[in-house]
Amino acid sequence: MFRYILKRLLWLAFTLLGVIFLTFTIMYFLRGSNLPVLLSPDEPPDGLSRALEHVGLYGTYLGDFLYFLLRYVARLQFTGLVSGKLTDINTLSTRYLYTLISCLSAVAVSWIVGLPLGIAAATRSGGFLDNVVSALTVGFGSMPTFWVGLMLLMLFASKLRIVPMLFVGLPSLILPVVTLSLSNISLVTSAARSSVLETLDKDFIMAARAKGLRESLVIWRHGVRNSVLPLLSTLGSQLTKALTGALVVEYVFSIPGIGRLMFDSISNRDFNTVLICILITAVTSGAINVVTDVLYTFINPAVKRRYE
Amino acid sequence: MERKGRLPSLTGAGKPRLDTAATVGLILLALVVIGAVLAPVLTPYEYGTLDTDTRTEPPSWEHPLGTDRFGRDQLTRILYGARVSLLIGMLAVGIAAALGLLTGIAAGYYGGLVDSVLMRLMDSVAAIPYLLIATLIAIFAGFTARGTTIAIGISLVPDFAALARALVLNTLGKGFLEAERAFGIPDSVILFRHVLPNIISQYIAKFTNAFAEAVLAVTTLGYLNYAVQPPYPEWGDLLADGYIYIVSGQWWLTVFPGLAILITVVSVNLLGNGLSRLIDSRAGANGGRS
Repeated sequence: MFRYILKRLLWLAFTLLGVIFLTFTIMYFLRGSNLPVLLSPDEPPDGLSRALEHVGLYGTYLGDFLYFLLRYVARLQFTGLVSGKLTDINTLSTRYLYTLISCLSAVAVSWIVGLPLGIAAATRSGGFLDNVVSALTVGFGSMPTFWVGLMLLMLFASKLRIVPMLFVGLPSLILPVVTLSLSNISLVTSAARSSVLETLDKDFIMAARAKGLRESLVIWRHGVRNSVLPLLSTLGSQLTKALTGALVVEYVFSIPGIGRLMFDSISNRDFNTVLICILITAVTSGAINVVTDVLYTFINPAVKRRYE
Repeated sequence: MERKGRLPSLTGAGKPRLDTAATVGLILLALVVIGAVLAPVLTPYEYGTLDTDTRTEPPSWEHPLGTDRFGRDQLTRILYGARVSLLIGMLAVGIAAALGLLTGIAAGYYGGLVDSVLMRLMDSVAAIPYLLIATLIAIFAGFTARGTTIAIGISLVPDFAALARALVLNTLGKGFLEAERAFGIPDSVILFRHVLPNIISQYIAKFTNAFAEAVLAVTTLGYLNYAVQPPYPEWGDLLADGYIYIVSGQWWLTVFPGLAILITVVSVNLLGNGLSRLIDSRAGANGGRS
C-alpha cells in the first residue's frame, strides 16, 4: 500500500508540474523572443540565474522554465514578468474558499439528485419517466451555465425578489450552486443511466434472475452496486467542469471568488493577479483530478488487489 | 467495416436509420446553419446600424425578437451571431480532432514510454480548463477569435486523444497488424492504410459531442467578452449586453440569445446521440466487426 501511495504522490507532482509547464509554454511562445521570460530587463542577475548559467542552462527553454518555476511560481508573484501590482496572497484564501465551496457543493448536490434519477430512468428504460428524464438531461446539458444563472437571477432576484441581487455572504452562494448543479445533474444522470443499463445487460444479471432472485434485489444489489464504480471515474472531469463553471458563475452573481478577481483584474490590466488566479485554479484542477483518480483506484477492488 | 470508413449513410434504405429525435436534431441544426449562411437575405436590417428611434423595443412585427439598447434588430444580430459560434466551434473541433488523432495513434501504436509520457501530458492538458487557456492567450496575445478557437481546440484534444488511442489498441488487438509488421511493412503504411480507415468512423462520431461542447465554450468566452469585438454580434456577447436589463424587465435581451444557443446545442446533441446509437447498432449487426 505504501508503494502505491508513493507512486500516486509522484504522479500528483508530475501532473502539477505538467500543468505549470503547459502554462509556461503558452506564455513563452506568445511573448515571442524579443521579451524573454527568464529575466526582465530592469532586473539584475541574481543567484538563481548565475546558478543556471553555471550548469549551462541559462537562456535555454528548460532554463527559462526552471527560472520561472523557482523564481516566480514559488513566490506566487509575477510582477516583473507581467504588468500589475503585487497581490496580497492572504486575501486570496477567502476568495479561494468561496470558489471551492460552490464547486464542491454543486457536484455533491448533482450526485444526490442525478444518481437516483439516472437509476430510475435506467430501470424503467423506454418508459415515460425515462423519456422525461432523457429530455431534461439533453435540455439542461445544452444550456450554457452562465445563461442558466442569468435566468435564475431574473426569476428569483428580479421578479420574485426572494434572493438579493448583491453579495451578502454565504446565503448568496445558493443560487450559484443551484446554477452549477443543474448542468452537472444532467452529466451525472445520463452517465448513471447508461452505466446501469450496461450492467443490467450483463450475464451475471441474467444468472441472478435465473436463480429466482426478487427483481428489486437483482437491480439494487447486483445492478446498481456494480454500476456506481465506473461512474466515479467521471468525477474528475466533472469537478474540472464545475470549477470552470464556478469562475464564470461568480462573474454573473458577483461572488467575490477567484473567478471574479480574475475577470476584474483583466479589466484593470493587472496581469500579475490574473496569472496568480490562473495558476491557483489550474493547480487545484490538476490536484482534484489526481485525487479523484486515486480514490477511484482505491475503491476499485480489482486495482487494489494488485497492490496488496 | 465499410470501405473508406465512411459514416453510415443517413438515409440508407433497409439499414438502421436515424431515430426521430436525431432527425429532429438534424433538421434544427440545418435550420441554424441556413440561418447563419443566409443571414443577409433573411433580414432587411444590418447587424451594426444604430437606430435611436427603436431603442430596447419589445418584440413586434417589425422586430420579431425586439431591439437592443442601440436600436439594432435582435433577430438580425442572433442570425449573424450564429456564424461566430458555428465557425469557431467547427475550427476548434478540427484542431482538436487532428491533434488528438496524432497523439492517440502515436500513444496507442508505439506504446511503452511514448504512451506513458503522451497520456500523462494529456492528463495535464485535461486538468487546465479552456477558460484558463483562453485567459492566458488573451493576456499575452489579445482578445481575438483566433485565440478563442485555439484555446477551445487545445482543451478538447485530450478527449480525442484518449478515443483515438483506445480505438488503435482495439484494432491492434485484432492480430492482422502483427502479421503486417512481421512482413516488414513500414509503420507509416500500416498506420495510414490499415489503422486509420479502421478507426475513422467511430472517431468522427465524437465530432458532434465535441462540437456541442465547443459551442457552449464559445458563448461562455463571448459572454466574458473574449471572442469577438463589437459591433460584430456574438451570442454570449448579446447576453452580456442584456445583463443590465434583467432588473428593468427587458427580458427579450437575455431570453432569445440564450434560446438560440440552447436550440443549436440541443440539435447537435440529439444528432450526436442518434449517430452513436446508429454506429452501435451497426457494430452489433456486423457481429462486432466494425
